Amino acid sequence: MLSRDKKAMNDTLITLDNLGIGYEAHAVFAGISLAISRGSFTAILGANGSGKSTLLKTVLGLIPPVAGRIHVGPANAAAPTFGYVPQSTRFDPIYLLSGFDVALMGVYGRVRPWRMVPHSERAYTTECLRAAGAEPFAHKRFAELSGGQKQRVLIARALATRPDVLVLDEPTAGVDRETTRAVLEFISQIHQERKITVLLVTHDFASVRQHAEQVIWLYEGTVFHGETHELLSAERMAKIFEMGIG
Amino acid sequence: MDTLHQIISPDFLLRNSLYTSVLIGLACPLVGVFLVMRRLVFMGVALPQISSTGVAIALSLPLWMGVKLDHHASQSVHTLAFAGSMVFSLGAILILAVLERRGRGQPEGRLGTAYVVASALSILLLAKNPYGEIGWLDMLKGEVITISNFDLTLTAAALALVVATLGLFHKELLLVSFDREMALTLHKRVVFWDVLLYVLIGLTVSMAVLSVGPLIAFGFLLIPALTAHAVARTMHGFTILASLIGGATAFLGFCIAYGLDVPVGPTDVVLLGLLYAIVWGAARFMRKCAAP
Amino acid sequence: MKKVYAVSVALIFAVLASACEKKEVPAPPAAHKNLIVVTTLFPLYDVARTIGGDKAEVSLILPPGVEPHTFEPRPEDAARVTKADLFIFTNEFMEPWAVKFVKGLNAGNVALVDSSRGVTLLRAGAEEAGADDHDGRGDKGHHHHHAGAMDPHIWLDFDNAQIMVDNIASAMVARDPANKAYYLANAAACKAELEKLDADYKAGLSSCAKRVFLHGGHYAFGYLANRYGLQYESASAVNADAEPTPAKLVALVKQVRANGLKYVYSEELLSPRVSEMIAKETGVSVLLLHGAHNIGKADFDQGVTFISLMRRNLTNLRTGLQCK
Repeated sequence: MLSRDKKAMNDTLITLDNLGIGYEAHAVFAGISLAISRGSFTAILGANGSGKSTLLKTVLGLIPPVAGRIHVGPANAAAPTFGYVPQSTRFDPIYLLSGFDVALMGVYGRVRPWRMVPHSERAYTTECLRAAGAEPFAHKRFAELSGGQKQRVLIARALATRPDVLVLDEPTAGVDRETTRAVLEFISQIHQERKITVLLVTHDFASVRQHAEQVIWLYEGTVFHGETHELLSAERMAKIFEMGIG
Repeated sequence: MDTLHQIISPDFLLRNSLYTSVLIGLACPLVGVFLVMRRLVFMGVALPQISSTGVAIALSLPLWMGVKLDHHASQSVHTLAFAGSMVFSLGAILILAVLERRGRGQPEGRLGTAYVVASALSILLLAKNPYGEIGWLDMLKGEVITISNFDLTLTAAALALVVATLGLFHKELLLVSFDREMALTLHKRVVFWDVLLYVLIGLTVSMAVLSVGPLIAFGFLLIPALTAHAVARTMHGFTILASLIGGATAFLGFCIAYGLDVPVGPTDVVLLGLLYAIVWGAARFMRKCAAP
Repeated sequence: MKKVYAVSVALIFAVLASACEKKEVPAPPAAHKNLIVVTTLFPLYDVARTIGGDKAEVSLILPPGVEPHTFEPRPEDAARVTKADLFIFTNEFMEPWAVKFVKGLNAGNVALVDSSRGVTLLRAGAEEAGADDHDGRGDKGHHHHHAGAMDPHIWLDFDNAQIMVDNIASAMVARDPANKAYYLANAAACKAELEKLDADYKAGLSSCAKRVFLHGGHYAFGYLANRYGLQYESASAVNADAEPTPAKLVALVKQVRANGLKYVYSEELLSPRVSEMIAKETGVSVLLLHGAHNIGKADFDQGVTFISLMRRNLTNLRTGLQCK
């Protein structure tokens, strides 16, 4: 009994314990309890404004929970590193940063404040850019890249943090079908190759169906959590939508 | 040519003024770059004014409390003025920045209001001038032309501190400015870095206002950074170019002012404005040619 | 919520009301004065109170210590002028705001007195134009910013000061003819003192080792220099707001050296920084040369007069010019 619990604990990377999320004590969701296990690919689904970005930001620790608690990582180990890929439209074009400059920020977490970025970390950044398919345009100004190119640079930046968890906020927003497919396939590939936990926020059900293993679905104030094939099966979805209508 | 020769000779009478204005010209754009990137250009206009109001209040304070200041103890007056300037510019920048983060209301409106109220306040203080004997109007202004060794040393030390801090922590300051959320996920102490940046901006503005006056402070804080932004391609290029434009204009402005027998401050600012217009126009023209 | 508004509005009015009450200036002493006179600058104030004696209540619009070039009238000044019989100003170049300000008040009773009537104004720096080229840069351009502007500091020529006395006295007589003899007698005494002052200046400045004095402030002593045949240079132009130029400062330092001066002068009410800098560079000392535009609180309390200020200046000038 005890050993089985311990094993489950070790596999669990993030635990949401009766969590309430929202802004300034105004809860958007309350009582979220679920666990995300190490090495999983979880999609957070929901329509625009359903609160999925709020949930993501709470998990990342960018905004404090309004109720409950979040446990991240095993109790006796260092906190895992989040490789955060924000929405690419968020950045102010006034910064004269190249794709490489932006990706290089990924290694800042490992370089002490007054130190220069060492050569090895610069080489690693280039490697991450290459892995993300962003090397050909890495020297161009970030603000002038296309949506898909920015997305790849930001993924490279997240990889450069050597993340335990890759967290993506709407990586396919404002990107055409073809690029969406390529980006998701690339994420999936990293997930499998590097055994990285992936947490992906999107409103695009169809695109995640074949990649995500688990789904957290925010719908009409309720949080559904389950295996992708089960939760996104035709019967279950019909049932949820009916519930909502009823 | 003769003018230039006189100016750069080491026993030139106004060498302190020349050195200080070049120092201010080199250092102000370095923090100006952050003001431009953080979209705090209005702050660059409001802060020098607020800072000089702070000087006025600090100098009035002893009289309100019934203490008579000895004006010839210029060190103590100087320290007081510096403290007032620093407290006000730092206070203002922190309050305005916190409101900015909260994202409520109109930031331009708030800055505009802060600027106007600060100017009005210093006029009111002048009207109720408690000093009787001395025009501390001059103290508010700082005069580029009468810079003592003490002023020069203090300015140089403060600016060296600013430049060194900016250099050492450039990547952190850039990261929290560019992507605050990323910085948080990397466990960077974002508030600490923000405050550090504001302290640097406040320190620079205070030093500039006290040594060369608000007009030159306005000019060198913003215009070189805006000019450099029009042509630079990289962050390093942007920062270094802004600083060089500031330093070169300060030197050139001094030469022109000396040669034409006009005051230094207005000459510098007009020169900066002209340069900005020319560079901006040229950059646009080049871009049009490059993309037919 | 509404309650909060109501309370705060009430509070604001209460504060405003109390602020207004405070402004109520205590009534002047019961003794009846025939004339109420408002003046702008200290010399006018001093002359007017001398002539008016106990028949006139004379006030100075500039608060003690306020530099006049940056002065702006306040609401309470308007109230004071409305109740006055005479409003005396120096001239249109010294107080460009005065005529507009008083006319704008629509105070039918108050008479505007231009104290400079009959005075020939000089152009600022005119007496020295092209006279010297000590800086050796072969460039006379640095004098030109003086020329052109009228120099408003007419009271620093004591003949002008006498004309001003006459103007003020006749304005008082016109408004209060009953006390004509009293006013004219005071005016005559005042003019006699100015006459004496002038004679002392002439005698005191006749045998001096130096004929040049340099001033770190704005251009105010043109009339004085002109009258006693001295050369005069200032760091800033005729309006006190003007910033000194670097070339001018260098020229002044060269002049100190070329003329072997031992002193430079600083002005009242403004920072002596420029003079101090010149002094430090050349190893000379700084003396005050009071332009008498206005005086500080301490001087007010000590009962300083225009004449006493000018005597102080004479002492300092004699020191600075090394007179026997």
